[in-house]
Amino acid sequence: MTRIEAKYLTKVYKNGAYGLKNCSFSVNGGEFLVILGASGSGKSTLLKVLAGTEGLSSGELYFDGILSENIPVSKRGISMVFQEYVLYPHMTVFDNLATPLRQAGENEKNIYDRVMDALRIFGLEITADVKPKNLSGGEQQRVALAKALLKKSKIVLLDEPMSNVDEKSRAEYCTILKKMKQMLPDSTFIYVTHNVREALFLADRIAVMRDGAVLQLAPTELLLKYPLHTEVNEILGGIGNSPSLSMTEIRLEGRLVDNRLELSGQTIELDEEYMSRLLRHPNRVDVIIEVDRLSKVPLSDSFPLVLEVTQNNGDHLLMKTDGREFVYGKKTNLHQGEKIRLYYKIRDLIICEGEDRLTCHYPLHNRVKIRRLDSRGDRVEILGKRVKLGRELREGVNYLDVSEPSFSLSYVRSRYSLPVAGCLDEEFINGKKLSHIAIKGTDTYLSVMSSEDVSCFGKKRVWLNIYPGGILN
Amino acid sequence: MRKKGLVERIVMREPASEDFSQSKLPENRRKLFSYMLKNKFSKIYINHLLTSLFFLPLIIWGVLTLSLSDWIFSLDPREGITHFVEYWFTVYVTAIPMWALAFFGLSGGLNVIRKLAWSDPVIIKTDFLAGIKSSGRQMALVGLLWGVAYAIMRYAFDWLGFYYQVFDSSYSVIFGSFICIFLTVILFGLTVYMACMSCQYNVTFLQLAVGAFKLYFSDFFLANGVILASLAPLFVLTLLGYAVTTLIAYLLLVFILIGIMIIPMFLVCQHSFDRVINIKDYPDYYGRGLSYGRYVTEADDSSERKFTENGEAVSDAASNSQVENDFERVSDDENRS
Repeated sequence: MTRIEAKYLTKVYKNGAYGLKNCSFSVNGGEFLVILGASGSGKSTLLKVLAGTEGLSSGELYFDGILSENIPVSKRGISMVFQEYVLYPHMTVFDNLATPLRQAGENEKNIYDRVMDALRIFGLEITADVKPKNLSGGEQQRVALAKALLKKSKIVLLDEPMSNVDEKSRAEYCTILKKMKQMLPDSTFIYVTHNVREALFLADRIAVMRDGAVLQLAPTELLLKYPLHTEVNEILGGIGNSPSLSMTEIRLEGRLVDNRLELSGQTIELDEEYMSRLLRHPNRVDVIIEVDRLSKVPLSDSFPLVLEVTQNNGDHLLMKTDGREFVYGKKTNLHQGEKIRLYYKIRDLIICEGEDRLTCHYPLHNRVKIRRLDSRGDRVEILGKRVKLGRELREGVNYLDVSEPSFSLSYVRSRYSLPVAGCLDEEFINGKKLSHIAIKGTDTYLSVMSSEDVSCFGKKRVWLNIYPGGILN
Repeated sequence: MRKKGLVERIVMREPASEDFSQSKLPENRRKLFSYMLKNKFSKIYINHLLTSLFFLPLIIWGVLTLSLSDWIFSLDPREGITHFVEYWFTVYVTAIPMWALAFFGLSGGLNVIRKLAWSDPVIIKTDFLAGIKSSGRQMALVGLLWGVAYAIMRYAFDWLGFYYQVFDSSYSVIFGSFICIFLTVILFGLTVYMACMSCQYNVTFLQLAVGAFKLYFSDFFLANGVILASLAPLFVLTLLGYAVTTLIAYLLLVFILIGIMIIPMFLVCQHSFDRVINIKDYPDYYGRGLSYGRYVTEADDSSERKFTENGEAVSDAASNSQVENDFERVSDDENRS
């Protein structure tokens, strides 16, 4: 069973448009996940990224804990069924199915038996010696499914396979797909659609996408009962409840003093790495822990959280901690009033101030050194660039924050500009964008806040502009 | 939905408006022949190449002995008749084992054609070898008998030719020659039926001979018409009498004709089999590959079992259905402390 974990996936196209924006989620091995969303929400892009046919601009994708970059696309064991028909037009249905098996070195007798068995399952045995052009859209899609079944792929990706199929065949197709999932219990299925009925019929869990990010990922029934946002309910066609309780995160109040975080009656010492990821250090903070991240087993660097069961609804629990109620999507025999202990890690905490997220994905490198070039101090060198300030720089100022108004990212070059050589990641925080960029000649990346319009992943060249006026102020 | 590009539209075309069903298969065997040529030509051609490999010794022998034939028929008939037995033995008797070899290979070729005609999926190499394995020996025997029969007929025909020129130029000799041609046609027709039966039914050689005889005569005119029409290109080229045209006929045989010629012969045999045997004794074979035929489906669900054997069978509700109970429970006292 292949578990997929996606962390902050970002895909920017050459024209600067975002396909994915910091998209994070995980798929359990052997589950049927349906990705639901409107057109342009990034569903297909996400699927192509998983298949390896589209590269990522940033982010990390893991298959069974192994970074995708370390697994060649051909070794990922992925089958993909597209909305377009992708059968070889010059081959018969039989040969279309047999070709991958031949390439895998299987003997012809086995190939014949397996292909005919698969065709029988999909009700296509009569088409074995027919070329795809003679088949209907639904049949061509069934052949594509049969191909995936034969390969016994670890991951089956389906990109709106029923968009070209008539309404009558859709129900039949869904049933076949469900049957196929039962035949491949170890395979992970990811199915992209904008059709809610298909999603509800097929899914173990549904991920709702909007603007290139996953809004909510939850088991089907729970998604209907506890949609996180009104948008989720809108995408579900209004058949779900109104948002009430969160089922993806626990929000707790905390106090931050230096590097110590007081949370749920215990003091957690935040390590240097975590502290370097904080944008600001206010005293009163909100701490978010994603429910999926909670573990039943204590690990060396984890902290306990005591939770009280307020209701057991059979397929999920309502739980409470620090007076905050949330949904826990597990089937258990726990009774109302029982208390359990779950564990979280420091790195799973997201610190916020009100609605503003303060925890970044990567440590911030937002200070640069200033080298004075003359005794008067009106000529300085910043990131290897000589800058004439026009006025003397205050004594004792040796470092500068890489932020507006001294620095900005822009497509337009100014008098003092440095080209952006690469981009590690772009984070979307509170309506702004934090770009972790590389500048030639520097040892590490720089974290720069900029407007959302400028994309460092696009085809256009981006400049880090330095404004002497901003430095002097 | 994404708009298709020009190349994509030409290559893939629009899918059919309705599902493929048996009613879309050809209605009769004449249409089936053109359907096969149109849709399965590449497989037919590969099958031809494999089959013609076994015919190659015979064809090469035919080309090599062309000069011998030219020589003997260019001699004065009185001199020619003295070399006749020697010529006949060299050209026709020596070719008998080569006929056996050719028919041995033909068993594979016919098996592939049978599956193509029945709209069964074909793996050429596997099906060709399967054909040889199942009926190769019987077919080699059929080939051997045909080689003997053909040698005898050629002996009679050529000898009558010399006899006519040297001793007696009466009509009775010409009539004798026609009898020889007629017998050759009948023997060839019987051989074709035996070959096609051999690749389809599991019968003894005696049953094969008797069955072929009955079936061939049950469709005598149609069978001969189709068989002679299939051979027509060869007849035309060889009857022209030039060495070049004969050579072209041999080349055509090697490069294309064998694989194509056997299809109408096979189809006419199928017609007879359907009419006489299949309709009663082999209903599964009746009209196979045609719109009115019965399409055989193996109703057992062994395939599903095969697939599920590899993993645990799961119910409709998937991985989430497991009840988790291994939580670390906290007592009130512990919590207070």
